[in-house]
Amino acid sequence: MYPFIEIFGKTIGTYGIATAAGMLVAALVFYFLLREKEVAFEDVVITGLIYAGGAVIGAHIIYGITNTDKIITLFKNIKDYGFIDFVVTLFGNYFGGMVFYGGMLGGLVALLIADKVSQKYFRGADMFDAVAVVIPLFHVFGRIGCFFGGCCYGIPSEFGFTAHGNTLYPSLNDVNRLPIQLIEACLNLILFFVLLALYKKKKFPHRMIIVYFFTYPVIRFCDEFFRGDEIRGFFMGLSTSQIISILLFTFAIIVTVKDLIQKKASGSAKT
Amino acid sequence: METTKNKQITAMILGIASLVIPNIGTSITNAIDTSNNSGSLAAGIVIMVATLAAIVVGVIGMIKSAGVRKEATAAGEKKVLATIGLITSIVGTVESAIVFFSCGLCIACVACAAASM
Repeated sequence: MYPFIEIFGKTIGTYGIATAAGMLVAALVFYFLLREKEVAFEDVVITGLIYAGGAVIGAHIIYGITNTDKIITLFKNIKDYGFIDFVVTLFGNYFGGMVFYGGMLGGLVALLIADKVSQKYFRGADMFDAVAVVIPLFHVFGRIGCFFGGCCYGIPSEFGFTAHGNTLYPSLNDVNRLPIQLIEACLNLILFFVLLALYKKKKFPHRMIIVYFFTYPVIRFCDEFFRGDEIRGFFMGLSTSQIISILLFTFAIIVTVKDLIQKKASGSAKT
Repeated sequence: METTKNKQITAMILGIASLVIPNIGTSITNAIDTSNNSGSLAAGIVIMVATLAAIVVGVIGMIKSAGVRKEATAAGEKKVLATIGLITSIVGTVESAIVFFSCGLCIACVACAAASM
């Protein structure tokens, strides 16, 4: 694991670099997908900015939700903390981390709001499908960053890698573990190509995000069983991400059923 | 006459500022004696404030450059300065965001130093 690397004398987190690379590649692909729809470079940049803003907020909020019990305890014992201690514990420890699902949903909500408020840069009707295509591409880089960062890791297994000298998570060291982040990165890459093919063939117009909600939650629900880290919060034997996966999959089913009913109703109205 | 020239220059200055501000922060940090807790705390705060300021300036630069590019396109004017502003804003913001969000060590140092003061 290489949680930090040195570039020009500066120590920088590998996860941050992988995320930045993912954003860049995703933005480029997004731009090329939308060139034929007269989407300008600045539209792509501002869309990325809106998504990133929503993603950062969403990712921290969901991470905070995984620490709800600790936050309640913190507020109960508020008298025992000084102001700086309280702020550092709350925002540094309990809201300091980020969760992918929170980021993805936060970004999508931000884009929906932007589409409603002003369509100067982000025009949902033209651009939302392309957003759904590039999400798994960005996620590929994110997961590679996770692998190098050593922040989340797989269960002990005969197949995989053994990390040594991880100072961030010493419990990770000297145990052969399944590289679950790399497996998820591969599955995300496959998902990206599938969505790209569907987008190019203009299948499921305005519903690409629903296709994504049908597929990624299944991948995530399964791979959570092979993760060895337990920092993500658990409820009734399921991790927070598994619960969100179930909710997203259910949402996708509801939207599809609603679409089918509407299609049937409009079909019978014509006849 | 180019009607968007001043706006393009403003956008470019914001972009360049987002690149320069973190380096000013780093230079100040290098001048601070970090061998004690209060020095580490001060250095951590300077880096965090500098990167946060660069993110804010960079985001404003991006929004401004994007708007000016649209205006220049509509007016049929050259948009070189706005493009420079947009690109420098992106680079400055991303660089600062990487340092701000991934520098767990800095935050940890600040937290430790604050707790032991």
